[in-house]
Amino acid sequence: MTTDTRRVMIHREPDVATAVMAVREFAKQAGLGVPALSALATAVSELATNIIKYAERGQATFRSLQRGYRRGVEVIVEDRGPGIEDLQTAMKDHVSTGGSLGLGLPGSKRLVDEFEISSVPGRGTRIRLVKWA
Amino acid sequence: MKSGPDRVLLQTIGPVLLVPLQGPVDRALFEELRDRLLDHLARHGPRGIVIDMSGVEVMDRHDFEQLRGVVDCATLMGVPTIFACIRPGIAAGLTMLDIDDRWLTATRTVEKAMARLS
Amino acid sequence: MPAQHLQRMFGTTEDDLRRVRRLGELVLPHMDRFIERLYVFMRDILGEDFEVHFPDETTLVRAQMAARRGWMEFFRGQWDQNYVKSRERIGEVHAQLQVEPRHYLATMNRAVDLWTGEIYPGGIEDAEWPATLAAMRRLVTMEGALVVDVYARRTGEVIAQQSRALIDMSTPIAALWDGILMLPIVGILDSRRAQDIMQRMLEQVAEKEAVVFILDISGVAVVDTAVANHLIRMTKAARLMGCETIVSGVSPSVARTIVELGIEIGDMRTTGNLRDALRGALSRVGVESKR
Repeated sequence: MTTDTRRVMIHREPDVATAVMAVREFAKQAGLGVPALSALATAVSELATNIIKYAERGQATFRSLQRGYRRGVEVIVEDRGPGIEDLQTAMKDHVSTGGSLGLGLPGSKRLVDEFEISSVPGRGTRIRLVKWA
Repeated sequence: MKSGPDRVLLQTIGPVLLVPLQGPVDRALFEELRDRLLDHLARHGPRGIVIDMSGVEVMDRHDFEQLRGVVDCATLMGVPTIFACIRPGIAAGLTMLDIDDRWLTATRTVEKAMARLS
Repeated sequence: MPAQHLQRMFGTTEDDLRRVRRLGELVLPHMDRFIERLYVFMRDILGEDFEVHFPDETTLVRAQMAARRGWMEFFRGQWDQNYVKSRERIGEVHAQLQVEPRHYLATMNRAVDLWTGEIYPGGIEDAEWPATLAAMRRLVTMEGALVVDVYARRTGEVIAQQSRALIDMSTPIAALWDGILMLPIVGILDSRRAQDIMQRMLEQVAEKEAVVFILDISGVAVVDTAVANHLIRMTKAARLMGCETIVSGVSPSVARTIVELGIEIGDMRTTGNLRDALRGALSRVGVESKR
C-alpha cells in the first residue's frame, strides 16, 4: 500500500542534489533513522551520478512503502542509456586499481535492504532500491 | 548551482588553513575550491590544510574522487591535508562503496588535525 | 521423519487407520458443528490471545478452512510421506504464529472428545468402539508429536537468533580508557550484524572522540573471507573518523585460516589477545598526549 510517490528527472548535476533531498523527505516520513537515511542517500547519489556520467538522462522515482508494520522507502533509478554490457562482472566486487571507478553497484547494493537491477545493452538500466525503517 | 566566494570558505588559523565544507557538494564547488585553494597556497604557503567535513551529510564516490583531486593538487604543491569531522554516515557509506582511502589522513576533530600539522 | 518410523514408534496398525476412516465416514458430515464447538473451546482457553491470533474475520475464516481441510485429510487415514510433510507444514505455521504447544495439544484433545462424543452420531458396533477410540487417540497423539517437534525446532532457531540479537543489544561498547573503546563480537558475524555493529561503533567513535577501537573476535565462530571483509570495512570506516582499530582475539586457528584463504588484511592491526591490544591502544594514546 503506497501513500506517496514522486519523480525526479536526472539530467544535470543539480538534479542529484534534488534526488538526495527527496530521499531525506521520504526517509523522514518512513521513520528511517539517520544511518539508514544516510546509506540510502549515498546509494541514490551514486546511482544518479552514474546516469549523468553515462546515460545523459534518466529519472528517480520515490515511493513510500508499508508492509504490515514496516515502513520503508523505495527508489527506482532508471535510464535509457547504453545499458551495462556485463552485469555479472559489474555486480562483482573487485579491487579498483585506480583507473575507472566502475559503477559502484556492489557498494550500492550493500547500502540498502533490497536491490534489483536489470539492464539491456543499448536500451537502458533500471535499479530498484528499498530501505526499511 | 550556486558557486562563488560564498560557497568556498578559507580560514587561516596560525600556520594552518582551515576549509569548512558545507554540503551539498558538486563538481562546481570542487572546482571553485581547487582554484581558490591553490591560489591561496601560492600566495601564503600554510604548513597544512584541514578540511572540516562536519557540514557534509552525503557524499558518493564521484564526489570523493573530485575531492581527492583537489587534495592531490595541494600535495603536489608540498602542502599536506588532513580531513576532520567526517560524519559516521559518510564514513560508513564511502566504506561500503569500497573507496580507496589509503592516501588520506583523518582525525575526529579539527583540534587534533591542527595539532598534527603544527 | 519417515512415515513408517513414526508409525512403528506409536504402534499404529492398518486396523487403526481403517477404524479412523470408518469413524470419518460417520462424523465428517457434521463438520460445521465440530468447527463451531472447537472454536468456542479455543476462544475459552486462549482468552485475550484469541484476538491476537485471529484479529479479523478473514483470518478466522481462513484458519477454519485450513482446519476443515486438515481434518478431512486426517480421516482419509493415509499416513504416507506426503501426509507427514503436510503435518510438518502445520507445525511451521503454528510456530510462526507463536501458538503455544500446550494450546495446540489441548485443542487436539478437545477435538478428539468432540469427534468421539458430542459430534459422533452413532453407527459403530459397541464391540468395536474401544478400539476405535484408542485408534483416534493414538493417531492424534502421533500428529501432535510431529507438529510439536517442528515447533520445537523452529522455536530453537528463533531463540538462537534472538539470543544473538540480545547479545548484540546487551553488549555495550565499553570505554576502556580515555579515547579507547572496546566491543566483543560473539557468534556469527553476517552482513546484517556487521552493519549494525559498524553503525554503533561509528556513533560511539563520534560521540566519545575515540582514537582507538578494539574489536575482540575471540567469540566469533567462523572467520572466513566474508567475515574478514566485514572487519576490514569496520576498520576502514573508523579510520575515516580518525580512529584506529585493533582486532584482538585472533586464535591460532583463525590465523591459519586467514593465511590459508589468502585473505589480505592490509593495514588492519590484529593481536592474539585482548591484553596486547589494550597495551597497544594505551601506547597509542600515550604517544598522542605526549605532544
